Amino acid sequence: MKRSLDTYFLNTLFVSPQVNTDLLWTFTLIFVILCGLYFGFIFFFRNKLSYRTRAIEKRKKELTPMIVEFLFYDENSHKEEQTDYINLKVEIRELINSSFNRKVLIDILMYLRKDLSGATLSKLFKLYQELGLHHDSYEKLKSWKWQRISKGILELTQMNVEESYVFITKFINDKRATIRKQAEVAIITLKAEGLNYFLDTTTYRISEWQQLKILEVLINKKNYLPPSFNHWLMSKNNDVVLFALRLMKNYNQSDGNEALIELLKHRNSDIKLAAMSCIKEFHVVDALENLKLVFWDSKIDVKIGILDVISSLGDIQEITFLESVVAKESNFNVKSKSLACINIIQPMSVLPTIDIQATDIFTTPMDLPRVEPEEQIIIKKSSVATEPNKTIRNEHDIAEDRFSPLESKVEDKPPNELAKSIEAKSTIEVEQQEESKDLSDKQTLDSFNLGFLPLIISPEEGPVSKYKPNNNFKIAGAISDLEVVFQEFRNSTDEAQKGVALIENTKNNLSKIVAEFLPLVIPVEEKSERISELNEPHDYTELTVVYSEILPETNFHLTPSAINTIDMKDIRNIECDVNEIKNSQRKSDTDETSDTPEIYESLASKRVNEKSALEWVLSENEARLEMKQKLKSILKEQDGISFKLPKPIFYNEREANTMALLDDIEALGDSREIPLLNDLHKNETEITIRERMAYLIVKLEGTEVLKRQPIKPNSEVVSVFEKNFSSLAVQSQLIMLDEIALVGDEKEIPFLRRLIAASSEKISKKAEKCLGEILVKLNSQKQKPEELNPPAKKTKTVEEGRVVRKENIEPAEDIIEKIATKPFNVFDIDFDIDMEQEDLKDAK
Amino acid sequence: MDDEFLNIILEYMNIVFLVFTTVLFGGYIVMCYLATRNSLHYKHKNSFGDLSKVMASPLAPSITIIAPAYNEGLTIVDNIRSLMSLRYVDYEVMVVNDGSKDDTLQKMIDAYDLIKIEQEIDPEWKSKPIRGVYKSKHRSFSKLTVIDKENGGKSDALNTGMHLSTNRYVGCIDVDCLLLPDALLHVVKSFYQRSEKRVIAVGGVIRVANSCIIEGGQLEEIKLPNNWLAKFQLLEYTRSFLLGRMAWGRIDSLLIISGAFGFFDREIALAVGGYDTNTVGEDMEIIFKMRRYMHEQRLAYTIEYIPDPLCWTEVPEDLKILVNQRDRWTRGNLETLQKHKAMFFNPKYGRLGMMSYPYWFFYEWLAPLLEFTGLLCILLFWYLNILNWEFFFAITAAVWTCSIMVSFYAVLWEVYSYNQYNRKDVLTLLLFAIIEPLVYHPIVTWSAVRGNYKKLFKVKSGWGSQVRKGFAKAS
Repeated sequence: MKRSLDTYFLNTLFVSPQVNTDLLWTFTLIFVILCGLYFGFIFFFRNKLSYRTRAIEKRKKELTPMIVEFLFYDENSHKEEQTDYINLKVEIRELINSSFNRKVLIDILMYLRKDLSGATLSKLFKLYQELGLHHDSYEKLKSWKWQRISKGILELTQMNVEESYVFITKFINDKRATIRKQAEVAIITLKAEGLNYFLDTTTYRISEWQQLKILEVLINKKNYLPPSFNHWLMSKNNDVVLFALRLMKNYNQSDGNEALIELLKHRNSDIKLAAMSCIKEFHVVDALENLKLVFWDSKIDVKIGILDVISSLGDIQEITFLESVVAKESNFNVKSKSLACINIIQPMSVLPTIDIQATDIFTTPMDLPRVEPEEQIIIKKSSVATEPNKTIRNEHDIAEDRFSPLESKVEDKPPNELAKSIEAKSTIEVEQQEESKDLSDKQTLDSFNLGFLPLIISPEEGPVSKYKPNNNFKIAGAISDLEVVFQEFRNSTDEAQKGVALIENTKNNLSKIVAEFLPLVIPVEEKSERISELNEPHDYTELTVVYSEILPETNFHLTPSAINTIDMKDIRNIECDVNEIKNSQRKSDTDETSDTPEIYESLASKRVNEKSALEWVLSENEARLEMKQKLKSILKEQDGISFKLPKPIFYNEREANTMALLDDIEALGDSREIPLLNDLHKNETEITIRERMAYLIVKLEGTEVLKRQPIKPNSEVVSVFEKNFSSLAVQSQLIMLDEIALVGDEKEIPFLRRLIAASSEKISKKAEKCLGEILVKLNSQKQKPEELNPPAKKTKTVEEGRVVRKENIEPAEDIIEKIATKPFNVFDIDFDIDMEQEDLKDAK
Repeated sequence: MDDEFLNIILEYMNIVFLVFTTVLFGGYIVMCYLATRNSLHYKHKNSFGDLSKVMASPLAPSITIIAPAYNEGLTIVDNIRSLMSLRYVDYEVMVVNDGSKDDTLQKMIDAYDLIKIEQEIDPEWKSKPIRGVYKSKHRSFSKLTVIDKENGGKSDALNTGMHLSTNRYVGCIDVDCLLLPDALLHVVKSFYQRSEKRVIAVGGVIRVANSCIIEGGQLEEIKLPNNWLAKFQLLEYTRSFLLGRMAWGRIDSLLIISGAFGFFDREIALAVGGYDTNTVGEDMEIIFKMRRYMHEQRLAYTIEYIPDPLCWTEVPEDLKILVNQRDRWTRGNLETLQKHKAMFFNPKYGRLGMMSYPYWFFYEWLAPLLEFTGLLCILLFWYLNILNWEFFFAITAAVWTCSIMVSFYAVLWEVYSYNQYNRKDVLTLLLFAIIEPLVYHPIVTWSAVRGNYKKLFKVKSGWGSQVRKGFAKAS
């Protein structure tokens, strides 16, 4: 090797260096060896992994049914089942001596944990500790490997070992991120105060993912009462502040408005955005000034966020600011957002400008050639509709249609005559009369431009039927086709009164014009003046339409309060209309040969129709959302108390127990339960529960008494443990004696006496101890019924563990209280692994 | 004297090759070590925790998946369906029809009941004109947005999508790729798990889906490709993604995220102007740009790499298509290196300038040229009868065995980490690893030489095309 390396030292530039190929062959040899090793490793790992997977699967198949048996074991089961259960415990005790089995057991419990809840989950947690598996997890905490510590913390958290809280808190500021994050989740999961501790003590940054996980833990925590998060808005850790803001929003804690406003000036954009999110959510109008203040120095996304909040909280006073943003801001998105805000605050303030053609290119009715009589129009309509080469009309065509003679005839008239005129026109169309009237009407069109009025389109039926006097005005269809601009009514009394006056004036005038199907139209500015000048030519594009659903029989007595009471039902009705229009348009798409006038036909053409329908739907949706929001805000401003979301009503503990009892009675009871129910009914104050009781009394009145066969006592006094006892090892025998002490009764006494007399010292001692415990237990059992039921009453008898109720019934409250305070005793058996180890030592 | 001089030159040439090869060996060994460390770390870190729990969190970020489509009429409907069935609460699928000449758009309109909507577009945004933005009438397809635009290439389509998206993160994928249902959860975790550094991009492994059985957008059975060329590519992908990128990821010097599965912080991606439309190596170029931008802004950042097999794609089974693809990759590589030559051994860019860029320069761009030159030299020397046979055999054996060793190591990690192939398939892969340097590698080298030739001599060439066969359906 030395020789081969020496070769590459360049002694001189002019001498050919000798490339010794030995080095390359050495490399080759190394690589070949490595290839061989890797080849071996590949199959070694593959086999090992496969074997391990198979072994785990096999062991899981064995252990899972045992665990399930434990979890669903009923303490009141038969003696045989109890014996099996104890045998199972003994078996599992032997199995967990192996570390592999313990590992698999932990895996199984962790897996089952995902699918269990309630009492069974509690049993699972208890089982984990009773099997001593938590000791394994504690051991992991002592490891130097970060992954083992994390795994240990995870296991203790998942198995809800509250005692581990203290041990885990020391990892809360661990320098190893995985451990630290696992510890954070753990302490929050294990104890309610964990979150406070975490937010108070963490010195590290909290990643977004960690926040997400912690929030998930909190959301899934039952009966969790969150602390007031505004305490952490002053934290030096920016991530704590950010997380506190998010939690405030999530838990709807609106008690830190001043801090929220102050946080708008924070350097951190994320905090700014989170604060804005809260401000928007809690409707903190006071923040508007600060929002405008910080706007200019903010980043693009913050600017957009600010504009979003302003559009939500702001009023007309913000328009100036928004206009200045439009003028000064260079970013397209910010500018667009600003324009959108203006339109949200003051609808239709900003009109489309792109692709809008100059007015002079449009043909006015004056320029049009001679207008055909109505009859011809209708005839032409049907013929054109069937023409195969008919080109699809574009929006300009529709625009022109607005000036068509058909409408001009209507718009031309003074408002108070318009309604009559419409009806008259309908009649004319149907009866095909008054052919020459249009020409004279058309001439005055320019002076009375009603082009702003929405096109009334009903693709399903022509205008003829719509305007028929006896057609009851298809309101839904008509309204759904209107272009409606929503305007929020101010809350102040003056404005409200003005509004009423305006509505009344407008209503008086317009109701005459367009009967009942048109929306109310109110000019935005100088409303009263304009209304007084209604007969003069107007630019009606300036008008704002106040939305209100108008029914045929509506008599237009709208008041501000009436407007405020437009609730979600009204909005839902609009949604119905939207659906109607969609349906009708779909129909019109397919029904190209329908007999509709030209103006409608153009809209029935597919392309235009789809586009207009979509625009309409989108604008309507947007407007509806805005309206919902504004209605909310109006109501909220008016009456902070009345504007409340319905809150769920929960039963308290006593009521829940009573309901559970009633459920049981309904499922299992018969007429014998009626006295109890009467008693309960008498004492019950909750109406729902009383009703349920009354119902049950009626229901059970006619039922026959169910024959409940009590389980006959085993005539032979034989201990069920005796059969298997002799086949067990000493260690297991000792365990079984522990179990006997816990679950045994008088039948075990002869068996234990025999053991004391004829067994080894160890077993004998244990049996003696066990016998003593059983005797004590039996004594206490005898005393208990006496305590619960004084001898004079004798309401209960205990018969083989089954309680048979007699005619005399305990007071209802006592029963419920007992149910509520009944201790959880599924796993009363002592399963402490340390005890076992001590016993083993003794045995040795 | 002349002979002696020639000998000296020849010996020096041998030394150049030897040093190059030795450094390459060293590099690969270091790479294997780093990849092992990173893989183990990743495996331990992700061995516990349930991603699905946070799927519907109110703090979960919104993501837009941008999928450019050009003449994808055959598979577009199924591919979109697959994209819309991912397990995540808040994401948008934005398909950009890049002026397809076939019925791609019409098929989407028909299948998903799309209608054109109005959307304001920044007039200053430079991309090919947008013909329309489509949304579905059905609520169940509300995640889907289709953008129809004039043809401008993949980069232009992705830029348009990025611009029209409003979400914080955007994913740029190939529309024919199959994403596993949990893919977005992994991506979000990668973006969100860092607290000290801003994650500006997340990339992932691309796995070969040829011959795999896919049903309803789900991967039903993983199989080794039947086609020999695809088998070689599978081996190559395994080596590249499980070793190469894991290693670079370990030292935070990853300079490429595959165009088939790359997610970006939209703000940073837009700040650097999105994808470069003048290069065919846009996926590499954007990472260079974003990294440079963050370096120059002196912001703490990182790029995350997910080794889990989340994205499956079809690789070319036709030799001509493969050569075109590799030709394009080489040109893209060269264009990117050329554009960012300021980083070359520039300490200002730290590891990027001193390690990553030189690696790409010497071992991704220069190596094929050197190999090709070496081959020519061998032929020439053999013709002139001056070939040092001993050296030739020694270096060939060393390079060959080294290559096999690295491939074996990659297969070992594949088995250890995922163990997705059966014994027979693993044996087949190992066999292909042995013959790869003699059969497949020359094809790749030739493609790279062709790409360099085209680029250096400005031979006009575009993207080429790949005819998709579609994934096998489960019976």
